[in-house]
Amino acid sequence: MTTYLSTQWRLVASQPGLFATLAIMPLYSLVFYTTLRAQDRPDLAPIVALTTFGMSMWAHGMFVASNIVENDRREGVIQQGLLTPAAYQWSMVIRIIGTTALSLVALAEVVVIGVLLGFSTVPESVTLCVLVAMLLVLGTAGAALLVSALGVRVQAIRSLQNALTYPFYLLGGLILPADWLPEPVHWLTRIFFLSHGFRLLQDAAAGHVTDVTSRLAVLLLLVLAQLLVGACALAVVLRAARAGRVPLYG
Amino acid sequence: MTGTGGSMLAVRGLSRRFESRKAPRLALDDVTFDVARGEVLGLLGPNGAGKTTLVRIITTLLLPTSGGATVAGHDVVRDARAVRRTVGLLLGGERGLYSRLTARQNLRYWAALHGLDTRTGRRRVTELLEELGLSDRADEQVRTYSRGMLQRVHLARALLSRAELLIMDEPTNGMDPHAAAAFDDLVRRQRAEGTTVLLATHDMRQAQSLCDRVALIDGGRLRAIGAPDTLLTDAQLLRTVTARGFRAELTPAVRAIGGVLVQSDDDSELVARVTDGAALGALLNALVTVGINEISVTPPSLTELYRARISDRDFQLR
Ligand SMILES: Nc1ncnc2c1ncn2[C@@H]1O[C@H](COP(=O)(O)OP(=O)(O)O)[C@@H](O)[C@H]1O
Ligand SMILES: [Mg+2]
Repeated sequence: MTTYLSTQWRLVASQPGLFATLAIMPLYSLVFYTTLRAQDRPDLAPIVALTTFGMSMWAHGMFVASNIVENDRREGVIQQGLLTPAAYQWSMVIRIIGTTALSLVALAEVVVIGVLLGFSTVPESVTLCVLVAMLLVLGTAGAALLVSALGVRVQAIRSLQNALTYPFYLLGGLILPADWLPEPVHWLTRIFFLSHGFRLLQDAAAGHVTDVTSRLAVLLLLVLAQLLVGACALAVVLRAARAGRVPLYG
Repeated sequence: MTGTGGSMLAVRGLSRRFESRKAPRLALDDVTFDVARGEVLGLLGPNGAGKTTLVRIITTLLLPTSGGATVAGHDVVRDARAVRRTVGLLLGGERGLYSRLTARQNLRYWAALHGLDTRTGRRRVTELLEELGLSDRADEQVRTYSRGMLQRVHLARALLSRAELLIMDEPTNGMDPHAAAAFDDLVRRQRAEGTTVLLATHDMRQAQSLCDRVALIDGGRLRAIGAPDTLLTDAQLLRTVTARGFRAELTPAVRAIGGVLVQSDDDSELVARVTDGAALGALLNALVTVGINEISVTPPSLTELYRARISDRDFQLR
C-alpha cells in the first residue's frame, strides 16, 4: 500500500499540473471573500469557505481519476496491469483515495485565508468538520473510481470533465441548497453522499447539529456504497478488457 | 489436469476472432502445439500473423473465441489466477512503464502488484537490477533509457515473480545488434535455470541461436513447428555456393551441371544453389578446375525456410 502511495505521489509530483485545481482555489476564495466584504455580508464567509472546498475537492477528484487512467493508458500500463488485475485495481483505489485526500489541505487553506482576512471561518466544531470532510473525501474518491472505470472503458475521458463537475456541484448542494432543486431529482440528492455530507459539514461549521450519530452513520453508509460502486465498476471494466472490448492503448 | 504430461504449455485448437466494422478477422485459426518444461520455443511470423494475440491469450489478457490452452495444467480461461502466478510477461514495444519514474521505482510498483511485500520487493528489485546490469542507472527516469536498457527493465519486470514460464513478445525489436546479443545471453541464463521460454520474434538469427524449437505462424495458422535443424532438413532447402573471382564467360558451363541453379553471376562473383550432394560436388569440381578456389558453401538458414514458407505480403495492401 505504501508502495502504491509513493508511486502515485511521484507521478503526481512529476506533473505539477495535477495540483492546478488545488492551487487555484485560494485565488477563488480571495475573490469571494473580497465580494463579501464589499457587500458587507461577513456572515456568509463560512459558507463561501466550505463551498470553495467542496468544489475543489470534487473537481480535483475527477481530474485526478481521469488523469491517472489517461496516463496509465498512454504509458501502456493498463495492459500490463491486467496481468495482476486484482492488485492493479487495488492500487488504483489506493492511488485515487490518496490523491483525492490532498484536497483536505484545501479546506485548511480556505479557512486560514478567511481568518487572515478577518472573517470568522473557523468552524464551531472542528473535530466533526474534519471527520465529515474526511468522509466526503472518501466518497469523492469513490465517485472518482467510477470515473476511472468509465475512463478505462471509453477513451478521452477528460473531454467529459465539465459534465462531471457542474451537475454534481448542483446535486451536491454546493452552489444552492440541494432542496431548491426541482422535485424530480430530490430522490437523487437523498442518496448522493455529497449533498448529505455537505449539509452536515455546513451545520457542523455553524455549530448547530442535531442527530450527529445518525447523520454520520447515514453519511458513512453512503460513502462506503459509493466506494463499493466505484471499485466494482473498475473491476467489471478490467474484466471486460479480457474480452478485447476495451481500448488499452491510446 | 490430465493429458498435459511434461508440457508446460498446451495450446489446443485455439482460435480468436476480432469483430470489426468492416469484416471480422480471424487472428488465430485452430492453433495447437505444446511447449515442454525447460524448453525455449520461438514463435516466428510476419506482422499481423497472430503472435501477440496468442501471447495475450496464453497470459490471460484476452479470451479465446474457441479452443483453449493450459499453463502448467491451469486453464487460461477458468484458472486465470493460477496462470497469472505462473507466467512472466514481457510485451514488446517502448511502453508499459512509467516514463517519469526511475527503473527502481517502476519495478517496486510492479513488485507490489505481484504481491511481494515491501521488503522482499526491494530486495528482489535490487537483485534484478544488478543481474541485468542496470544498477548504475537504476535511479534515473526510464524515459532517458536506450531501447536496449528499456527492454532489460521490461525483462526485469517479467522476472520479478520468478515465473516458471517466461513469455516474451518481440523483446529485441529495434535493438542494436550488441544489445540484442546481450539480451540473448540473459535469456540463456534464464533457460539454464530451468525457466520455460516462449519467444515471439521475427529475428531469425535470434530464433536459430536461442530456440530449441520454432513455430512458424502466418495468417493465424501454425505452418510448421520443430527444431530448426529438423525443419530445415525436412524442408529440403538448398545450400548456397558463393565463388569469388568468377568470370561471366564460365556461366554456360555452370548452368549445364544438373542440380545447380544460378542465382546471380557477374565478373567477380557467382551465387548458385545446389539441390543435392552430387550437384555440389560437380559444381565445386568445375570451379576448382578453372582455378577458382575462393568458395563458400552456406547451409540453409531459418531465414530461407521462413521465406519459403511464408509468402511475402509486406507489399500487398491489406
Ligand atoms: N484488438 C484487436 N482488434 C481487432 N483486430 C485485432 C486486434 N488485435 C489484433 N488484431 C488483428 O489480428 C491480427 C493478428 O495480430 P497480432 O496478433 O498483433 O499479430 P502479430 O503480433 O503477429 O504481429 C492482425 O490482423 C490484427 O490486425
Ligand atoms: Mg505483435
